[in-house]
Amino acid sequence: MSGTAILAVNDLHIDYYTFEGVVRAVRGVSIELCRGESLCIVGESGSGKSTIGLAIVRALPPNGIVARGEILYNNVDILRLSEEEMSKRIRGKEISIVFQDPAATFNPLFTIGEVMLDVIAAQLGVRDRRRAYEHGIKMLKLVELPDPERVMNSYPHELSGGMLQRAAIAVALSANPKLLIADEPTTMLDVTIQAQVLDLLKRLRKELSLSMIFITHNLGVAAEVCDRIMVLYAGTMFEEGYADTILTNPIHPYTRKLLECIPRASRRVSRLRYIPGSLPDLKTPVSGCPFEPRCDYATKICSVSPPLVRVVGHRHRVACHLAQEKGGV
Amino acid sequence: MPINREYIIKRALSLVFVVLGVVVVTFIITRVIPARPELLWTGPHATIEQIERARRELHLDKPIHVQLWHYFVDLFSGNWGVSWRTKMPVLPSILSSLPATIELVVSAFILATAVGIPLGISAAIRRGSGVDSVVRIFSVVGASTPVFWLALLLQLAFCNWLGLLPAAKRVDEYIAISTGFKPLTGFYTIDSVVQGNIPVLIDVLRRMFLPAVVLSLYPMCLSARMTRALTLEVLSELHVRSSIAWGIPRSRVLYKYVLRNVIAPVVASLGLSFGYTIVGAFMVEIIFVWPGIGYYTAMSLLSYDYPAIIGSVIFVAIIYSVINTAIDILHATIDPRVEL
Amino acid sequence: MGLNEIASVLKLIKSNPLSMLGIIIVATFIVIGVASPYIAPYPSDAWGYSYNLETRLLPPSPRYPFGTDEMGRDLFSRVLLGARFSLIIAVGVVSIALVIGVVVGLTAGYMGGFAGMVLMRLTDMFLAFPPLLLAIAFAATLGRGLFNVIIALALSWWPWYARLVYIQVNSVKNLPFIDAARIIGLSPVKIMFKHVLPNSITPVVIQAALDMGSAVLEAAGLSFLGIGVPPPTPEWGLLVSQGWALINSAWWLSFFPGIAIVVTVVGFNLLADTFQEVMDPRLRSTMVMRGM
Repeated sequence: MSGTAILAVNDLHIDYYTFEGVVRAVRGVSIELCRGESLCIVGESGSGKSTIGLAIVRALPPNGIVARGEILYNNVDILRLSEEEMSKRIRGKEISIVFQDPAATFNPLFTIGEVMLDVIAAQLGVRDRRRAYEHGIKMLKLVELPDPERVMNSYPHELSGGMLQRAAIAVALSANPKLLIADEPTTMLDVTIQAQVLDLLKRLRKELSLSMIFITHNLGVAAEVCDRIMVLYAGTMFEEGYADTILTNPIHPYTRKLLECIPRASRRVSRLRYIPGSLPDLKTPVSGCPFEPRCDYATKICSVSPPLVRVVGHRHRVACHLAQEKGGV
Repeated sequence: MPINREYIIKRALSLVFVVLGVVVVTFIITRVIPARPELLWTGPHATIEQIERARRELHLDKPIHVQLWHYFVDLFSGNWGVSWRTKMPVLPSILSSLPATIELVVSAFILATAVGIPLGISAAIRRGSGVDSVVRIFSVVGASTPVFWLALLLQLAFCNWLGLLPAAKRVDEYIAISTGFKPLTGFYTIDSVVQGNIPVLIDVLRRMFLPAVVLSLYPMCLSARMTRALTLEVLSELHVRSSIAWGIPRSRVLYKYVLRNVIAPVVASLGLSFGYTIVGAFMVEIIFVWPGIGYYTAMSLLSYDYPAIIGSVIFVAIIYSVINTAIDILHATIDPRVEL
Repeated sequence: MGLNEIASVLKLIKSNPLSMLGIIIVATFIVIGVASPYIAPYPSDAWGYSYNLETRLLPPSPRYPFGTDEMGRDLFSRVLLGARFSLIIAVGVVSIALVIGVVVGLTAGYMGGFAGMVLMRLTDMFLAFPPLLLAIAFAATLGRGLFNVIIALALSWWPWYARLVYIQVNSVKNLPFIDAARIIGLSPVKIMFKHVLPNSITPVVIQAALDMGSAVLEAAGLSFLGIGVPPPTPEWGLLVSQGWALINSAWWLSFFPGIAIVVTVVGFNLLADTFQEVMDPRLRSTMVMRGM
């Protein structure tokens, strides 16, 4: 553990209580994020990646329960804070979040400005509406929105998806958080806009020296924005390491498959690659490795006992029976 | 919240068409469906001459489109026929009983929304708790109770057995005359307040209490149920969690943001609640001898007074359309997304 | 609605005691409705053909659990038989309204264009009346009688189903398999009844079945206003209305038929609540997060 860790998640378990049964969405995930670092959580839909992001801001839906584990932000376990303390001390000014669907993140009956001024008033204590308004305009300019005054007075349905996502980033950053969680912020945007928003996030991260957790299902996007990558599957961590390491020297069979699925102009193939099979049912307990039914290298042990997390290199961890332990570094 | 003038004009225009449609439907019911409409119009004890005269007056000897034209002309010139129970023209009778009904229905309606909406919200916020269960059971039972039965029982219990409240009428004539009360507007609560007549005001309120409470029950349960469902729906939406995650305190999100999201569709549904209230008044008014449109209609129904029945139906339907238009405009001022 | 939904309805009903209560009430109502002439302790009293002045206006007792009326008839038998009339009215109203509503909604939704617009405008015209008001107008025009009550209520109810079907059809008609049927040249009528209808009707039918409670309530209202079923039929609303004149001396005459109405309608409404939770997942405790 380095002293510069801004966020340390230890053995996090999250369950959803649904009508069909208990969905064990996150099953013992640990994260270590250093100050100023950016981590990508990559996984298929249903892997639990968004759930982790929501848990870190304590914004899980009402039926989502943290069953076990701790989330240490600057060595304070935020799971032990009260709702009130969360809103007063953490949300907005320490940790903030940008969601996948920009149209659904804004309340349809309020202008962007009303939401933003409320965030500024609550977190920065700026009660003077004119000063808060000026700060809001400054934030909208920061995210490169043209005509910020108009955006301030617009209702969500009057803006495009790309503009809304920029506005959402502006609102999320308006109380100067140190850690930003970006939950698939480009997935629902047009391809051309996606690249712009990614560039914006990269620039803002540098300028504001933000720490960032970037959640995506796209390993290609992950490589572009982040220092580190964590591969998640069925609520468990499969592999984690520096982006270069993961991309050039992946250990876990699943990570390798994911990499093979990235279409590349240089590689001439007649059809797109995919991984046959689907995620296991998260309601039933798994005795072995959750990837075993889809894995080409599966052996007997894979269906019997869950793989332990092994350290295979400098800050490189893998959860696979096939991985060779390299001793702590 | 800007008021969109264009929207109001559009809604007012469409109101005209709705009223025309309502009139056409009543024309179909009263003139096209019955084999001999003039028999319904004159009643069971009419002479042959009377029936023949009614046939001419209703233009039943002419082709159907001419009949429709005359139907419109008669309605809009105020010629709504003559009641054969009271021997009085229908429209003036209805208009003179309007204030009594408005006073009762509006009180019941305010009571219903003022209690129903907070009940629904508090049940949704404490979902699955005891409060929630009580509200759910109350709203199901309340919406399943025939208003006339409840009116009879409460009248029996509070007025006849316990003797706590007067059983009928809007005001005690003795108190009214002895204190020199003058019904100027026809709204007795307003009249008595304006004249500073406290004894009459107390008597009026005591008499209005039971009918208003009974009448409010169904719309109250309706709005409680609807509000609960809507609040749960809004609470599950992403923007609630994003506002909280961005740092707006939960209570502010609840009482500023969620509330407006809930109120907008609840307001849009008030028209239906109003519809139930005004038709419920038919039964409640006759039980409490409340001399309003409901009493007039119910008496006409019990004596099969056809012109009076149809006149009341048209009148109530038009009021309902106007109220709905007003509610739509109100809704549009709360929800910026509303388009015609 | 497929097997999965039906299975989850059953699961919801089992897990919720109130839904269970609803099932029990509705089942009892149907059984009594069918069997009442055979299980009523005094069958001739039930039909209203007999009178016995010696047993006039007796309060509830073990022998006459609901008391007796001014003709000396056993009210319990009459209320039991009333279930049959309420059942007939409810089934009749809902099925007739459903047939009209489905035909109008299906035609309007599938045809679209001018004809569809005219049909939906007509539907809107009917919906511009407050609930029950239109039924009052129809009932007053048609006159008293069991059949007329059913027709009056059905004629004022079909627009709700027409609109429901219309919305359903619009969501189904552009699905790929309907396009496919059109491309291979099936006739519109065949597509409408063989492909669009089966895929859009289930929620509407269930809604209609659960509306039977409201039909019972509204029919009772019409009877109370004197334009429903004529005496001596033991229809519940009519029984309440007849008891009104004697309410000071014989409260039970209005009380018990009213209780029968409340219990029956509560049963249907409890089921309606359950159904609503199944159809609207947001009201369920299930919350499937996007990209979870």
